[in-house]
Amino acid sequence: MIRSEQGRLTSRGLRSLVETGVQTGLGILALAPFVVLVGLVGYLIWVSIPVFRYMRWGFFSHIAWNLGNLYAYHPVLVHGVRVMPGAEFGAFAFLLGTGLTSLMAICLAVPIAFLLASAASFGVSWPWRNILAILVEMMAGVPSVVFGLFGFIVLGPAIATQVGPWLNHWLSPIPFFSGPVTSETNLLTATVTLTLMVIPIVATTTRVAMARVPRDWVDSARALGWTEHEVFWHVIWPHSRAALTGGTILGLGRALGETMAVLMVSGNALNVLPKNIYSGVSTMAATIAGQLDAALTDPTRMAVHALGTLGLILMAISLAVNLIARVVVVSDGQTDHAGGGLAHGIL
Amino acid sequence: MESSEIVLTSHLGIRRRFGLGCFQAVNYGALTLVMAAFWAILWTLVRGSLPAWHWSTWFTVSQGLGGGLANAIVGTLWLSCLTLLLVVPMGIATATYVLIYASPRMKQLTLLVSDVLAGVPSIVFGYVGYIVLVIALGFGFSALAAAVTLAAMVLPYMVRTSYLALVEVPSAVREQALALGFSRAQIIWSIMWAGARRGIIGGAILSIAIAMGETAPLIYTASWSDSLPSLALTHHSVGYLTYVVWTFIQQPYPQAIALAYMAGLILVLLVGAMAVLGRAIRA
Amino acid sequence: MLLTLPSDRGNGTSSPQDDHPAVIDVEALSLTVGTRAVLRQVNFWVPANGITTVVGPSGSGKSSLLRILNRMWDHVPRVRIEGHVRFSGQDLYARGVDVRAVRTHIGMVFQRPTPFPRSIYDNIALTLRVHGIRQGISDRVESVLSASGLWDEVKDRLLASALTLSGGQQQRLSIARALALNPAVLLMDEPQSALDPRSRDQITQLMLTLKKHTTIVLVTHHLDEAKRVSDRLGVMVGGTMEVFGPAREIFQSESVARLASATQEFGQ
Repeated sequence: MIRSEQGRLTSRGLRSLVETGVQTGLGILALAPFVVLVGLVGYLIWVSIPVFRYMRWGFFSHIAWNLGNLYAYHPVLVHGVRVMPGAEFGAFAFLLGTGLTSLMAICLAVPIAFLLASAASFGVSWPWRNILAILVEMMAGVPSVVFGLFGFIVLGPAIATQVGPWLNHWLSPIPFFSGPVTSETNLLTATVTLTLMVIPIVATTTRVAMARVPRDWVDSARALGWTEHEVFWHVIWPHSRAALTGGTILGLGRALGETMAVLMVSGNALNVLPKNIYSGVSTMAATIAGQLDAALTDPTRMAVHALGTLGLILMAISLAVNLIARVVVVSDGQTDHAGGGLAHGIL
Repeated sequence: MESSEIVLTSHLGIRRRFGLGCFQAVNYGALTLVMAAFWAILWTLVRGSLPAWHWSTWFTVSQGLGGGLANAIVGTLWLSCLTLLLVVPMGIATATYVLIYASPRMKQLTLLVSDVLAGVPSIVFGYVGYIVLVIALGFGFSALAAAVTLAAMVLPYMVRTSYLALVEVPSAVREQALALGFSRAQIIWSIMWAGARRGIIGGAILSIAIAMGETAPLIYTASWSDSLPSLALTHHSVGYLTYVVWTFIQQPYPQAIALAYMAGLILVLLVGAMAVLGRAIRA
Repeated sequence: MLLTLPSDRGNGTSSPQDDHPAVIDVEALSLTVGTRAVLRQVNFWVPANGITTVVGPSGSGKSSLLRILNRMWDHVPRVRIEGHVRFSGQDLYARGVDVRAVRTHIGMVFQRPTPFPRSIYDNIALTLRVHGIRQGISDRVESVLSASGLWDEVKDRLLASALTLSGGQQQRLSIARALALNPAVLLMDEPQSALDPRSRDQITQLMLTLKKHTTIVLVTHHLDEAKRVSDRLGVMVGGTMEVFGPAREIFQSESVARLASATQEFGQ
């Protein structure tokens, strides 16, 4: 199909038109990630402006979340913003709830995830380590409502009747751990449910890094007569430390943004701070999902905007966390490369 | 020969033996823990859904808090198809553009923005999707609003998997094609996309598996409907499986609860199967 | 690419008793990984203090054979090993044999240098400390670094990361580390193939020095290197030991040209 063009070296008109068309088309579609991100951030900032004008810094420090007197005849004008009389939008309880559930979940999840990664990459013998790796990845894919269901049906009752009273009995000298266990949906249930969801993420990230330690390194450590635990501590662990950090931050990101599972098991407490781990809480994400219906009844739209502000803060935190995770994981990748790089380069 | 000196048995001292024992104990402990958690979740779903193990569950639509799951299953598939239609072209185009045309800085920036998008909590998509698509653009609770929201949410996964698949196509092949006088458009079509087909299809399946399991972006965009989804894209709310799980489980009626378990079980199996399939195709 | 070989050395079962006592004696060894027969009925032996080289095309099983000698296959699933592997008269695969003990007596060096991401000093010191050795570590570090010809190059920067060394230096560090436990046998799996020509030469010289005190089993596909260092030579093709005997005799025999051409053909 070679057609002689008699030495013509310039491209034909149609061909260059197609070229330009393809490039332009792809370029426009490639704007999609920018459009989505800029759209989300821009829109949330836009709705947040009146909220901050009305609440000022009080948005971060107030505990009460109150739509105001919705039966009032007229909205009132405060700081140039129309709101219903008595409305108050304080996010402190949600910030605290998000922070507490996520951090506690991470503290529980990381040690377990570390052991899982160790077992799935190295610690247990052959068919089991593959089965374990598959199971962990499958758990990472289980939809969050299913974790919510499990937390609601299994963990909640177990915590209310067994774990909670037991913890209260043995740990009551520690202030935050003592108190009556009156509900199945509380801070502890939310934390344990989130833990289950975070473990697979941290474990998978770490396992992949551990499994990627070059075969020759492991072999040469074994060839020195080291046992499995010595090979693990001196060869595998130094290679995968950064991945555990990166995975932990990724897991934290998931815990911070988790909506459905928390909505189902946290108790969705409004206007109160948790007194102990057996109190109900609410998180920013769960509040947005749980309160949007009610917020729509506010004729001034301030309640909806206030939820958008929660979304903005949540997004800012999640983005910061994800960027940090990225930096950690990427810099890990580079050191990893430099480590094996010399030998690779020669090959 | 010094064969008498060489002892090949019982080599480890107490310390090392203890360390090894502890290491193995915690590793097998972790294994047991995960197996237990996994089976506990699966068993909870299977046992709870037993009352709903009936053909009628698959073929009848839900009525209030009873009936079947037909509308939810079809709705989930319908939303997934629409999401796929939206996200696949955008994902492939973005990945192709950054690989072929974009400057190195632009490439890095696009991939960074895409990765950052993956960290945005799903409820934020739900919130903005509701306010912007459902209310401001007037789509109403609808398949289109839901699919656009889901597509925006899974876009970074599609971009990343497509990019990884396209990068795998050796650049030497590309250069060879260029040397043979292929135009860039021809290279994209017949070399890049053809060569990365498996990876892209696998990535699309993984993206859809993620979308299927989502709830938060759908509550306020698709809402919920007791009837089978119509082909209307706007102003017709759509039912889906995750909604059944989170609302029906909190009801006092055994029939509703069984349906919630059943929906959860179907979701786990469906998402799990698609994840396995997606991974197998990509590998 | 079948080799026709002089009948007197056919199948290479010259017995260990003729000149030296055998440190390692392999008899009727077969290795199956999954369903694939990697080694079939291999017989060979390793005399003390010399270099025994195994050459062959990639995939011929020479590296697999080497890994049998310090039980590296223990960590691979679905592996079946039949036959006898005796090390100074004891069966390596007998019950009650501790694989860690085997490996302290039989060291191994790999194709790619494998320095641990620690200091040069720690690479060797850690190896000793893991084995519970606390005394005289710095003396031992110096002596093995000297033995591997690295001491003069690194004595001023022992605490620098081992990753800052050149490829050839890293490989010599790997050898020094293997020597730290004072093994009777050193297994070397193509130790030069990842290195530049000058470093290769240094490793060759090092092997010639080491063989005065240590038994070396070398696997390589470079025939000229095998020729320079080998005392005994085995040629593996398709999982069997086609020929085994004193290296000089094999290189002098009339089949050497064919052997060489075949080896070059299959090498890399």
